[in-house]
Amino acid sequence: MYNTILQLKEVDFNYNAKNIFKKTNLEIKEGEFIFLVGESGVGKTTLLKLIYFDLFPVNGTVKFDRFDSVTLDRTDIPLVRQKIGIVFQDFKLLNDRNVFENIALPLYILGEKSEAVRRKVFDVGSLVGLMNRLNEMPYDISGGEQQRVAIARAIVNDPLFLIADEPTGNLDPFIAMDIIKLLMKVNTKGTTVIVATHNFEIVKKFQNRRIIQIKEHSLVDVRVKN
Amino acid sequence: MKIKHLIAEAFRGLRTAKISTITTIFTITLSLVLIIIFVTLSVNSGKLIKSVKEKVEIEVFLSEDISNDETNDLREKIRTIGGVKNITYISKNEAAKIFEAEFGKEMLEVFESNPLPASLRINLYDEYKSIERMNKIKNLISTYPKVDDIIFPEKYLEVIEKNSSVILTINLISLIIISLSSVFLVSNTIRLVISSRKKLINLLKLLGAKNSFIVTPFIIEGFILGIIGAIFAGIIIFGLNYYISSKFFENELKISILNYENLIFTAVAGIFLGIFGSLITVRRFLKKEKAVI
Repeated sequence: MYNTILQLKEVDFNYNAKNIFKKTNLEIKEGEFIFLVGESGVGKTTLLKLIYFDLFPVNGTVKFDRFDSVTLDRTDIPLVRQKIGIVFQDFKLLNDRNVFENIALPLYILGEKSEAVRRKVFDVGSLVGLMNRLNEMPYDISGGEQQRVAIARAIVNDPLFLIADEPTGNLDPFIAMDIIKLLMKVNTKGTTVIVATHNFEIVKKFQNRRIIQIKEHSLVDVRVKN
Repeated sequence: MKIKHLIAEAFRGLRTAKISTITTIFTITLSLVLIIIFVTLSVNSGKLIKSVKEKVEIEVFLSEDISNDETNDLREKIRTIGGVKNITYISKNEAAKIFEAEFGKEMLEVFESNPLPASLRINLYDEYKSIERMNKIKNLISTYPKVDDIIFPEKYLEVIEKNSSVILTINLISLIIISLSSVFLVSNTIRLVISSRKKLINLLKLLGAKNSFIVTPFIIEGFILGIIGAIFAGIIIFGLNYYISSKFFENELKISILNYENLIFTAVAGIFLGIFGSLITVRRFLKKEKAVI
């Protein structure tokens, strides 16, 4: 029996007087792989931000691991984020450092020793297929490789939860498939993964996975027909 | 938190934002030079007032018929008055020599005999050199026998008393204004450095970095910028000092802006400006940044 890692209870969220979520509920168990789907602008990124406490609900509760949006001390937000890996749509790579240093950033934040940093970056570099790119600068590698760097950075500190916001948005279909497969590989190692996407074509190919759709300000589990 | 990584981050920051780094160093240097020049002016104006005051003394002119014993008695009586530091006896001959040195021999040749009286020059402790206290001493001595006249530069003292407090107030206010403007100027320049790294700061927050992890490299950068600014300010001050000492070598005040106190002050003020400027800017930035959907 898997434990609940994320729970939304009766969550209301408004932005600019517009309802985004109304009395929304959600429960995610440890080790799940979830696609979060919905049209652009429907609130996918908002939901992800509610998970990593970049936004807070107007009413209701977001509970992640042992942290609760109602009782959370703002100084504990970094602790939450150290347990969550985030892959951003625009990669958010730093151009003033090479691939190795970009991937190592979360480890420096945790204060890991140099030897451990090297070992973990090499491990994850090998997992995402970037071993021969570690010394390159981000602007010298392809878009697909940049997304791999972003994934490597998100998983290098073994997070409990991995959030990927439109990870295939800027990539061609073949590379997009590779990226999803890579995220699934991460999931097999025990990390809970949520992938936000508006690309239904990709989701259709993975029907055996849980799919959550944002519909009428709520989250609903859906089955996709071919 | 690995300090080695944070120091490396600070140096990376300095390398990345070259123009902002140079501008900040220039601003710190300029601020420090201004502050040092001002502090020097304040200290030297204080010294000037003190040295002028040091020359103020009471002169007691003695009667023509005063004997040596009576002079000694009078001297002893004056010595017991509170505030008297030392007394110098100027004989008639010595008075003539002083007069000759100041006005030439011709003036005295008009007279058949030396008309100048013997006198006692009374030097007081600094805290007694006020018009009120000197008048009290003057009144007391005037009651003693064989005293013809007593003088002290009352008008002169009045000018010093009036102006020294004005000068000190102006100095203090100006120093506060210059110091505050320097902190404001430096923190605004550092804001350029920090704005250029908004992306890094936001990313670090999303990756779970605590504020201390984000702020520390900026403090180290501030420290480095402050030290470099202080070194440049030191070089400029050294040059200014060389110029002033060659121009005013004959000046008995010996105005000097290069001394250990000033150099230590420059270094400390530079570090303070750098660190404080960084800290207030980055903290303001961290508070201001809010999530945007």
